[in-house]
Amino acid sequence: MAAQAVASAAHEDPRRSLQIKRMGLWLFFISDGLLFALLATSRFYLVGTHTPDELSQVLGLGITSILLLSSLTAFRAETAIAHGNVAHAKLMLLATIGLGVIFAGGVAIEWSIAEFTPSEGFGTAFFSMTGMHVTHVVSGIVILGMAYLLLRRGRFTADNHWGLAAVVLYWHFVDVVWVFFYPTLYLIN
Amino acid sequence: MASEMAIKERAAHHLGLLVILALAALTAIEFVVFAAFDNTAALIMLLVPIAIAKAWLIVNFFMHVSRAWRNEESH
Repeated sequence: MAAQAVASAAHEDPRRSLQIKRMGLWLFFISDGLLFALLATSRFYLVGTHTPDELSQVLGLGITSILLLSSLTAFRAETAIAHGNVAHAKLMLLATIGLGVIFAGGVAIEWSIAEFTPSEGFGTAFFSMTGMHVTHVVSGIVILGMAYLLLRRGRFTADNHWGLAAVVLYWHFVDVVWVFFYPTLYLIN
Repeated sequence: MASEMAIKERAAHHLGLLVILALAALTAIEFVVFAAFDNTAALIMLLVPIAIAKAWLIVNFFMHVSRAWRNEESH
């Protein structure tokens, strides 16, 4: 009954519909954020604050910088489409995808050179946390690609670009998660 | 109208640039703190607020969290 009322209200008022979509997405971020918070907690439960010396700090700092930069390009893509600048939005979406691919590549390198195994305490936490995070990054790259294709087909305009804004919001969420994972995995020792 | 949009877009891009500079500075501070402190408690006490500040910058300026509960803007 309540769901029917919400659906009816959303149908009648596009702005109400947009607000419901936004709130739905934020509720998803909260629930997904709890999952990441539990993973971060497991790192301290398994090995306390111990961090292996072999972990590449340069690579950690590098991929963190790449992901932060990708948030800027994603923000610029959304800002550009909100102001009707489709060409710049396309360029910034491609840049975000590229930076996302570099980040995923960096994590892959980190995995390949890691001198600890998933069966060790830190390895369990490290591979679980980075694995879950990079899964979100890869799914973000896929939906950014889909948004790019839709943008090319003219599906987004200055007045109607919720799809693109939602993808960008998701990308920022993935970035926020890494903001906490970076010190948790690399810096606290 | 078009030039007004362009001015607003430039202002938004400028804000984005300021936010990313702040994020870069905080990340650099994080790394310096990591290199400078051996004490775990001190590291946690310094790194946690920095991470929260970085997250706030992204959530507030890039994700526009305040819009989530507002009804006046359209997409």
